[in-house]
Amino acid sequence: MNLKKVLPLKHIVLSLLSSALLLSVVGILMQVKTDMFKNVGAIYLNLNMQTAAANAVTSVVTFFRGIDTVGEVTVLFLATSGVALMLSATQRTCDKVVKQESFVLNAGSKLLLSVIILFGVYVIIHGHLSPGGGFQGGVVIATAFLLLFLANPNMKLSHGILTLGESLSGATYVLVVIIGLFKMNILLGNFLPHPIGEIGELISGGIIPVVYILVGIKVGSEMSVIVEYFVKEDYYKEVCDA
Amino acid sequence: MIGLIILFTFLAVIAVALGAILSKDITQSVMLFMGVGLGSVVLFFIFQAPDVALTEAVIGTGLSTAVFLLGIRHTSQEEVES
Amino acid sequence: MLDFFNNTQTIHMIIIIGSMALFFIGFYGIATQKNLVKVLVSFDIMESALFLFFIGLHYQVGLVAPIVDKNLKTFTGMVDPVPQAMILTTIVIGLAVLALGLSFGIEYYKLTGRNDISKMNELRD
Repeated sequence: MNLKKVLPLKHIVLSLLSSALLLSVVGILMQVKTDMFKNVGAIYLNLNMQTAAANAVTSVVTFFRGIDTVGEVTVLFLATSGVALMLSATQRTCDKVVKQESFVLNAGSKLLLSVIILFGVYVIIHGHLSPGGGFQGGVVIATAFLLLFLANPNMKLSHGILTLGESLSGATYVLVVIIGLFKMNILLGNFLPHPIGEIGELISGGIIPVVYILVGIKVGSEMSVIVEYFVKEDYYKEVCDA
Repeated sequence: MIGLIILFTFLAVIAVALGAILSKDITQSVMLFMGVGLGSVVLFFIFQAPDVALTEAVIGTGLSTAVFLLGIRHTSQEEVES
Repeated sequence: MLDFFNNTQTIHMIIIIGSMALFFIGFYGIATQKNLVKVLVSFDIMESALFLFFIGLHYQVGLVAPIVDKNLKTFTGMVDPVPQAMILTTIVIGLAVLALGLSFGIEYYKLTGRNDISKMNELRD
């Protein structure tokens, strides 16, 4: 076992190149004074009391930078469409029935499903009070469906309901943005009542929880579709090739 | 004290990432990559970013690993000879 | 000795060196690995390094998370919420993009039976 086979010359050169790049980038970054980043965040923190949301990150995501979130949700939708397009093109179906997993896994997954979905919904609707929100809660709901699919691969998600929920929430989000334009003269204006005294209550903050619930529905359905395609791909390969 | 915790967590994350890159077994590589997400959760929590820590805990250690593990069953397990 | 480690400047130095080391580990992986899945793993390691860098540089000793509750009534002395909001959405998008890349890899393997990126030359002639 000679050294040249274990660590070829190309790898040594590439690792030296990476280290040199690392040293130069670190050298440049050491010059940066961290005080120069503090402008926008300080302004948003000062204005944040007016939005009546206890979590400043949530109000930045859904209110101050709400139009950015529309774009990010669109990127998510396009990536999910790409996954569905790629994996459904050659996905085979065969008449053999996929074997069920053991009884313990089946019953346990059905018991845990409601608890995990409840936790996801809790994370979504408390997004403006505590850490959490639509993005995290939607992914938590998708993990519940992952567990269900692993236990029982014969299960099918109703794509009609998922498509309906996904597109309706997206359309409602755009509608909220436009209603804000007409009522408050800015895009995504906070047109629902949001008194500052109610900060910390469950119903507070005007449109902020509404927008995060819509984002939660959208992210949850998209991630569930990704998980479903990957699990189905896996089981069809195992069963149809056998 | 907080600086020492950050330093050692960073060292652990870097070690796990090196293991994930240099490992010959794909499954082992994916499981070590989960360690990078786990260390990131600890660091985000120390950096006072609980929202990001929650997201990384769900995605970096949960769904991302599941998607990788479901995906590598379709491609061959052996590392190709370079 | 321990006071030196509680300094914001020292913590920022640790974060810069550590996250950039992680970034270039991922860079090295992309440059040297041949397996498609290993390239995606390297890609995700680079992504994690950027997240740590962005969040870490806005942390200063003594600041708290940007959430008010019963004991903390005003938004003062808190870390910057903007990078946290940006990274929060980027992590979710990163998972979707990773799934997209893996699905491309799966289709490529189904069609050709290979996952070696150095032998991908179907479009050559």
